[in-house]
Amino acid sequence: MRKTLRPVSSYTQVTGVIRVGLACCFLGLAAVAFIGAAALPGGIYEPLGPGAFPQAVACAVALLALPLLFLRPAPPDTDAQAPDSRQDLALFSLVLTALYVLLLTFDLDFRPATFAYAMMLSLLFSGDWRRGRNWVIAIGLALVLGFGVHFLMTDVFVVDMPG
Amino acid sequence: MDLAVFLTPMLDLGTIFYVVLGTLLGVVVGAIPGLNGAMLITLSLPLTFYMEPTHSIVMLVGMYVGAISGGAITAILFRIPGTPASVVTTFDGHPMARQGKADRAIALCLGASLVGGLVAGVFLITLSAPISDWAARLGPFEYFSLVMMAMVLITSVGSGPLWAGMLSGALGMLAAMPGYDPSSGRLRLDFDIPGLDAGLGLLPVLIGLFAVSQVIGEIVDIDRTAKAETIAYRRAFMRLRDYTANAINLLRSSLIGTFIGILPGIGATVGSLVSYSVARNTAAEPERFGKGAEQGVIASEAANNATVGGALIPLIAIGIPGSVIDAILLGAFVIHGMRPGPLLFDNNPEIVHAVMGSYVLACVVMFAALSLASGLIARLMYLPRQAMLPAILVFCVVGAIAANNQISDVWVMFAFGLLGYGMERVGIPLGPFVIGFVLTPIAEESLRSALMMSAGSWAPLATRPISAAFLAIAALLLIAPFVIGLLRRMRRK
Repeated sequence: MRKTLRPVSSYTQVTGVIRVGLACCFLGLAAVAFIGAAALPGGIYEPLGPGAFPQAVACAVALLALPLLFLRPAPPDTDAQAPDSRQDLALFSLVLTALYVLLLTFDLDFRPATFAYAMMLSLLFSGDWRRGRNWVIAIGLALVLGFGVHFLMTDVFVVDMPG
Repeated sequence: MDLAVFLTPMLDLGTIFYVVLGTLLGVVVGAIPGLNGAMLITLSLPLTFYMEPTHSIVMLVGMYVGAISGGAITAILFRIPGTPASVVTTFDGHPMARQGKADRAIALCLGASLVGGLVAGVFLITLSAPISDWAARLGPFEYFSLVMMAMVLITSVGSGPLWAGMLSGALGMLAAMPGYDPSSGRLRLDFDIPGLDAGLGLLPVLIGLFAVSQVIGEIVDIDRTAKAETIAYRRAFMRLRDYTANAINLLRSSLIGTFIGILPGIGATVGSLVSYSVARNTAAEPERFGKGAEQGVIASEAANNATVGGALIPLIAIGIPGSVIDAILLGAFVIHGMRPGPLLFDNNPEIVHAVMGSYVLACVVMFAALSLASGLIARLMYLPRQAMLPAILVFCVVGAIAANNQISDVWVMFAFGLLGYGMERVGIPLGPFVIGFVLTPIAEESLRSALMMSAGSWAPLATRPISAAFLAIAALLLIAPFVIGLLRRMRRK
């Protein structure tokens, strides 16, 4: 009997790439932590010193990350592998979020930055940015999040916001 | 103790007003991610300068209780732990909400919170002095053994293969390493990166791991809308048969929470983690945990509310704060010219009784207020994604900034969001990460202090009775799932 291979979805392929990428990251982090901890001096009043725990943990991470290179832990939600997964949208949102945080890092005022960020995300998630109703929701939400949250944090909870 | 003695301060209308006010404020602030009870109490302290000492202390106690419970609402609805103590509630509370049972999850959470609070209240009132006395005798060897017992539970929290859970736990431990060495105070693994010298903040890490990762997942699945079940308001209350069916879990989790609360520095997060793990290990269907198991929500919430009452015991009886919030409360006592400890019972008995009474009243107020509003709160779950997801992301950013008022925490949150999403997507559970992250500093500090005391000898770990008992329990917890599984297989045959 001819065996037919099931096509591998892009979701599964990306998951595989993430798995190997994570394993490499974990191994790299463990190596960096181990080397950094090895440079620390030994203990004066007790035998362990500041480097012993990090070294032991780094070894454990490295040992446990190795199976991740070759084995696949059971996916937690097979439902998520539906063909309608919007990985492109997630990636775009992440880039937008990184840009927003970057602007805040350079001390751009929280209000306009959050207004623009929330409005763009809302339109992005609405599915149809040309509909007037979606613009009304996006602008209303952006006003509340940009200016309302700023007021709440600075005037009520006395927490400084960027800008 | 005469019941009337501690009820007397509660007959004052002003006291009742401040308990209710504090509890409601705590609930609201606890439900906003990034804001927590510690922040609310700190910000309210200057306001209490002008209040009567009793009123100010009972208001702060109300805030403490309210904030812990408020944090569970966002944990269930949005998988954002409003406070670190609510993180375990996300494990099963959020899956329940996704299954269209948000109101049921909230009802269980409130019922369990009430029971946990009341059980701890009984301990607070009756056993305050003797229990605190006993807890004060625990040395670093006992603390290390206690932490090891909790660490063993890493293997049982979360789904997936054992090695994946252990990897997650080890990663959490590694994330706890940068910053000042807890024993010698030496800076380590900071790699000259600004912000790493103080270590990674708990709140940015938790918000990233549990909230940002969840939002990324929601965006990936955005084309599939959430199941919009009509919320039956009657289900917002935990029924009598729910209480009876879960009586053992409720009582056990409340006792675990109270006991862990009494031990200084361990905290509500560990209390809920331990009771959740015990509930999972002893459940008839442990595989349902992490997928919306009601027992999981009950165990977590009963325990984390009980830790509040437990932590008040050493605070008022011997002046040792059990958590960050207790340390702030200690400051409030001092501001008002009182020193918690044995002398407080003699000099200011009315304050001691007011603390006890206000704690119990705050639990009841929290339960009543949230029960009445839970049907309404649960509807938040079904807001349109185009409004919900940007709002959650902005609140995550705000929460990360508000935690320590530094923008580098937002990058930490963002990085851990990506890590959390990646880990969940490949099947590595997030629960063990939190356990490793929270417990490692306590374990390291305790062990190294212990070794200093014993001149480098490890023997007291096994020769000191309490330490040996904790280690024995750890061993039992480790082998229990295997033994139970084996017994089940034998029974089937």
